[in-house]
Amino acid sequence: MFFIKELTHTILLHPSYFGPHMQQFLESKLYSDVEGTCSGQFGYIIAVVSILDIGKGMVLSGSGQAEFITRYRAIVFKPFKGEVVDGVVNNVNKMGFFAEVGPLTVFVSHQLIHPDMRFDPNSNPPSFASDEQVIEKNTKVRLKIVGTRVDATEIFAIGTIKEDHLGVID
Amino acid sequence: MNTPTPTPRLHRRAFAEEEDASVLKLGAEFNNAGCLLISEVRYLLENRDKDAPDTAVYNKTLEYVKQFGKFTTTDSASAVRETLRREPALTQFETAQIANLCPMDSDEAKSIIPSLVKIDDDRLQALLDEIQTMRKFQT
Amino acid sequence: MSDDGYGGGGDYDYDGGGLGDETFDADYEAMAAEQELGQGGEDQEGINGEDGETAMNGDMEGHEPDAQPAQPTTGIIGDRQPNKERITTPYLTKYERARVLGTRALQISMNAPVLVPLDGETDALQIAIKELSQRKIPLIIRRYLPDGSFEDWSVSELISE
Repeated sequence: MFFIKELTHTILLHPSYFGPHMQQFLESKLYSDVEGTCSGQFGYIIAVVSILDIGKGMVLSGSGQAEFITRYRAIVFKPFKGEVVDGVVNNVNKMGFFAEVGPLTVFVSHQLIHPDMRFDPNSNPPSFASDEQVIEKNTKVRLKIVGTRVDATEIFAIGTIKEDHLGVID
Repeated sequence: MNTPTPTPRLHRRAFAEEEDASVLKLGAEFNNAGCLLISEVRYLLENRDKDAPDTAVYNKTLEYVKQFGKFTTTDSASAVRETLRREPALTQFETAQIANLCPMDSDEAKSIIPSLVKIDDDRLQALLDEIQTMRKFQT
Repeated sequence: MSDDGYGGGGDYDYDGGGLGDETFDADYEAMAAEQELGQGGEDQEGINGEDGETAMNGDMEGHEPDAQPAQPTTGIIGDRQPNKERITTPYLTKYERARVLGTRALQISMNAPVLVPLDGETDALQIAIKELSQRKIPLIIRRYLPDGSFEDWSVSELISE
């Protein structure tokens, strides 16, 4: 799910950047520091929408640097267990398939695919196929997230399509 | 010897149960956060006044929202929001899920968004029909 | 080492700071202007030094000198605002002087733009002293009172003779 959220970020500014262009520098530093990052607490920070407050500089006496605590509003994406999402398949193998949901990669194990759909090792590209449906690269699927794992810089999720109203969509 | 173990285990379990979208538990940070429809994300990303950051996360997201945004105009997206606002029992999360997934009937809606059981079938169906119409006739 | 970075004579070319001769004066004005803003607005960053009275706290570490010309935005330091009425001495105390000069000299030694025309000075502390005497130090002192409230005083408004 995408959210709009107020977040804070602390920037340490070296004295050589003090001066009239300090504010632009702080803004671009904020953008480059936070956009595209991922944390377990907030999920993926996709883009900063607006900067609410760049903060007052607080000089750190030992180092001479100034510390700015900026507040900004950003679009974040965080997957939740139990959430149903649409995604695009980008890799299929006999263990299951991987689907991309925005920045997130979701793995759907073959155990969580309806037993009617079987891995077809002879097809090209590799696919899961039943009589009516085929899942291969670039197929759009609707899946339910059953669990997430948070890494330092990435979130992985496990999904299922073995329930009603899940599976291939057009 | 048994006494020290239960406490950490309880803690861990409490943490694991913290987040579950099917019962609308999104964790402390997100329970009251504003949810965005995919279409709104698309609008925001496409109408940024500054250069797009060249990050993998950004590019994948942009591609995703272009592919799955159900409502192509801001008018239709806000009309959907307006429609769903008429049903006061809906939370932000449910509103966004309905608009993102566009279920056809109340049965499907309740299956993919389990927390919707609180809504009466007929009323839900009326909302879904209205959204389908909007989707069909957006310019 | 740091001395090498400073051009002698009257040319202020601190390339490290991205300021050339031409821009220097303009920058200097701009900075002074920002500083004014900082003073005018209620959001100041200050050095919170200890002044004659508050030094009795003995809590030197807790007091951070704050930085540069701030933007007149709403502050983040919690929602704590400086006291409206300032009751501490209008003089720069010797403790504050030491801390301000030390902090400013450190910044100058780290390539911060210098706010006064130089006349051959190469020592960061000498430059800081010169800035202080011309009231150009862009820092604000945050004086904490024993009850935890504070006052912000711009270094440039404190009497230092």
